[in-house]
Amino acid sequence: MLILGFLISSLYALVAVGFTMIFGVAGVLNLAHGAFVMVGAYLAIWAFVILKWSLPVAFAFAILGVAVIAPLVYRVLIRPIENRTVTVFLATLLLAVLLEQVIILFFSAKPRTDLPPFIQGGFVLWGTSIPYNRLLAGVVALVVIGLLWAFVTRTKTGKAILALSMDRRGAALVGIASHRITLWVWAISGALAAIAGLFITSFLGIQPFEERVSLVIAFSTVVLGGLGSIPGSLWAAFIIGYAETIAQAFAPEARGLASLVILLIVLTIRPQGLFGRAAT
Amino acid sequence: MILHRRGRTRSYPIAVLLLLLLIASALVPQFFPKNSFLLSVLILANIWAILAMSWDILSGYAGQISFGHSFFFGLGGYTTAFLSVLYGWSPILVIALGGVVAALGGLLIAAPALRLRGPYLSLMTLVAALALDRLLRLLKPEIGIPGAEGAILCIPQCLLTYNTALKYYYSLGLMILIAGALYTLARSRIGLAFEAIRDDEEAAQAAGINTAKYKTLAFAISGFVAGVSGAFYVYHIGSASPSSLLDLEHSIEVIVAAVLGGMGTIIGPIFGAYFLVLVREYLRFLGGWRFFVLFAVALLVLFFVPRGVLPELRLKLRQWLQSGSGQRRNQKV
Amino acid sequence: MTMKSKTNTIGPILVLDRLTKSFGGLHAVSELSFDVRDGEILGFIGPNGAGKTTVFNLITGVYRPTRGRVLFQGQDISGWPPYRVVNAGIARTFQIPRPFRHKTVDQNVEISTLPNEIFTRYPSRRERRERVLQCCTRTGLCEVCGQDPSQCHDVSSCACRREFPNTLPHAGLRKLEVAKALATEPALLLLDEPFAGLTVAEVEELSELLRDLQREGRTLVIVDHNMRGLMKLVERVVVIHFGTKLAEGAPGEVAQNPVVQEAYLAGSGAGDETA
Repeated sequence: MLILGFLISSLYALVAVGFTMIFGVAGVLNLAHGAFVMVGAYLAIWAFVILKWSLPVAFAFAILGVAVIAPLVYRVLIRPIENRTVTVFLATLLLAVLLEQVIILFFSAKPRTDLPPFIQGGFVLWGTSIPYNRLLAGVVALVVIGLLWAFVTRTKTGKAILALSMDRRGAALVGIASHRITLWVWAISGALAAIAGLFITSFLGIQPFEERVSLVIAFSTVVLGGLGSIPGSLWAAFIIGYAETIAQAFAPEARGLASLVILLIVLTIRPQGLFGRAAT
Repeated sequence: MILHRRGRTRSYPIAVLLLLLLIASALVPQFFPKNSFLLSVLILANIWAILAMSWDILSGYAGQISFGHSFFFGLGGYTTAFLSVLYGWSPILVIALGGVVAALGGLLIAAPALRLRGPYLSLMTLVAALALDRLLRLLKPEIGIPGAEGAILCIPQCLLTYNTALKYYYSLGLMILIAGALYTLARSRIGLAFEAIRDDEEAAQAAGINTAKYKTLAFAISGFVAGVSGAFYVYHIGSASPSSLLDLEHSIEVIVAAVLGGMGTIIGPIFGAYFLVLVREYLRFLGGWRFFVLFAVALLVLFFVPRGVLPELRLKLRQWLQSGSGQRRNQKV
Repeated sequence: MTMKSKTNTIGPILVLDRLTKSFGGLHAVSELSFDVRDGEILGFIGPNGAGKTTVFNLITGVYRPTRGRVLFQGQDISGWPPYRVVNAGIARTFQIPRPFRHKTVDQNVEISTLPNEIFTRYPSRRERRERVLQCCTRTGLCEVCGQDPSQCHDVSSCACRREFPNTLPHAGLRKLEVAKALATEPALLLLDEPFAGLTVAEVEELSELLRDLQREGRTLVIVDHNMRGLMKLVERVVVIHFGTKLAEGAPGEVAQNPVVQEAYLAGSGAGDETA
C-alpha cells in the first residue's frame, strides 16, 4: 500500500504540476486540464486499437498530440480573451464539457479498458502484488518531474518560465517574450497530462466523464499545495495520493471523498494552501 | 457621440417583446391541448429558467461564480421529497420549505466562502455539490427505492396535479413571479451593492459596503430560489435521487444558459434556459450531438458575444431604432 | 452636506500610535507614529516603496496592524473591517483609479451611498440621489461627461447617467475617485496620489476642490511621492522612508532637512516617474 500509494501519487503530481504551471505562468485556471488527460488516453486508444499502431508509437503519438492541442487551445481560444478572467474561466469549463462530448461522439460513453499495460507481469513485495506497469508509471512520472525540474532550473526557456510564474511584469521588464513562453508551458502541461492519462487508463480504463475526477483531484492538489507553486503541488500530490489510497483500502466507496474532505478543510482554514503566498 | 454605450435608458421594444412572449406562452396549452410532451418540456424549461436566474443573481450580479448550483437544487428537491412523503403537507408549504432549506445551505456555504475569492470560491461550491451527492448516496432510507442509492419515490404524495396544462401554468406562474422578484431585486440598491462587489470587491469596501453581509445575502437568496426550482422539479418528476438532482450536468447547464442569455441580466438566462431545454429535449434524435452543439454554441457566444444574446439584441435594437431618430436629431443640432 | 459623527474635539482627528505591519519578515511599516490635526491638509510623503499605501491600508482596515493602534476621533479603530471605518467617517481614494467598470458614472458614486442594512428606509432613495448629484457636480464630473453643470439640476437629467468609466479621460477617473470618496460623507479624506498623471491645469482645479473641502471642515491627508506638487496646498508634511518617520513639519522646513534630501537622493529621482 505504501508503494502503491506512492505510485498513484506520482501520477497525481504529473497532472497537478501541469495544472499549476498554467496558472502560475499564464494566470489561467485551466478547467480543461482534466480533459487533456482524457484526450491523451483516447488518442492512444485510437492509435493503438483502431489504427493498430504499436503501443510505444501510440503512446508517443498521444503525448505529442496533446502537446500540440494544448498550445493551440491557448492561441485560438484563450489568448484573445486573456484579460477577462471570468470569461476565460467559463471558456475552459465549456471547452472541457465540449471535449467530453467529442469523445462520447467518437468513442461512446462506455468505459474503455482496451489500452494494455505497457509491460505485463508484476511481483510481490511485503504481501502486496505490484504490477510492473504501475512501477513503470511511477518511475516515468518521477523521471518526467525530475526532467521538468532540470529544464526549469537549467535551461534558458525553463528559467524564463520560472521567472514568469513569479512575476509577470518583472519578467517582461527583463525582456522575456511571455507569449512564446506561455505557448511552451501549455505544450508541456498538455504533455504531462497526456502521460498521466495513458498510465491511469492502462490500470483503470477510462470513460469520458473520468476527466472530471482528474480535474477535481488536480484542483484539490493544487489548492492544497498553493496555486501556482510547483513544489507545493508535488507535496500536495503525495498527501492526496496517500489519502486516496488509504481511504480506498478501508472503504472503497469513499474514493474521491478523501480528497474532497481534505480540500474542504484546507479551503476553510488556509485558503492560500500549504505553500501558497497569502493573497493580498 | 457614444451610441453603443448608453447608460440606463429604458428599452420599450424589449418590454413589448417580453409581453408578447408572455401572452404566447400563456396560450400554448390552448393551441396544443393534446401535446403533453411539449407542455412537459416547457415545464422543464421553466424550472431550468428559475435555476438559471438563481445562478445569475449570485454569479452574474454578486460575481461569486458558482460551479455547484446543483447543491441548492438538490437540497430543495430532497427536502420536498422527504416532507411530502413523511408529512404530506401542502405543496406550497413544502416548496417554500425546500427553498428555505436550500437558503440555509447557502448560508452554510457562505461561511467559508466569505474568505475565498475567484477560483477558490468556485471550487468550494463544486465540492459542496459533490460532497452532498456522496452523502446522499450513503443514505439508505426505508422510504427509498430499493436498490437505488439514496433515491426517494414520492408518488403519489408529491404530485401536483394530473392535468399537465395546469401544471404548466403553475410552473409558468412561479417562473414569472420569481423573474419579477429577482429583476426588481437586481435593479434595487441591493443589486447595485452586488454589482459593486462583482466589479471590485476592495473598492466596494472602500465605498463603505459590508461585502461579507451582502455576499451572504446573495448566497441565501440564490439558494432559496434554486431550492424552489429543485422542489418544483421533484413535484414534476415524482422522485428524488442523487443522479437526477445532484448531477454535475445541472450546474454546467445553468452556466451555459446564463452565458447564452446574458450574465447579469436575470431575464437573459430565462431565454438561455428555454433554448437549452428545447434543444436538449427536442433534438433527442441527434443523440450526443445535441450537447456538442449546445456547448459549442455556448463557447462561441462566450467568445464572440461575451455579454450574451439578450443584451446584444437589446443593443442592436436600440441602435436600429436610434439610427432613424438619430438622423433627425443630427439635423437639428 | 452633513458629516458623520462630528465630535468637536480640538486636537488630532487621527492618531497613529507605534503602528507596525510586517509581511513575513519584512517590516513594511514599523513603529510609525504621527497625528493628523482636525481640519488640516496634511502631506504624506515618501519615496517609492516607503509604505505610504500600506499605511492607508492599515488605517482603512484593509490590513490588520501587526502592532500598534489607529485612533480616529479618540476611538480605537485598529482591526475594524473596511466598511466600519468608512462609516465612522474615513474615506480613501486609490492610487490607480478603481471604478466599477460595468456601472454608469452616477451609479459608481451612488454605490458609496448604499446603506448596509438590508431593510431600511434611511437614507432614502431621494436623499441618496441628491447626494450623488452634489458629488458629481462639485467634483466636475458633469463637465467631464459633457454637460454644463448649471443644467444638471436633478439626477435624471445628469449626463453622468449615460457615461461609463471606460469613456472617461484619466482626469475624469481621478475626479470619479474623489466623488466616490466624498459620497461616503467623510470627516477625514485619504487621497492616494490624486495628482498623478494630471496636467498643470487639472492639478490646479483639483487643488481648488480640495481646499474647498477643507473649508467645509473636512480633514485631508494627501499622499505624494514628492513635495513639489503639494507645497502650495498643504500646511504640514510627514515624510516616511522604509516604513518609519523621517521628518515632520512645515513643507519649507522639511524640504531643507538633510535626512529627507538624503532619502530622495538615494532613490536617485526614480521615484518621480510613478504613474
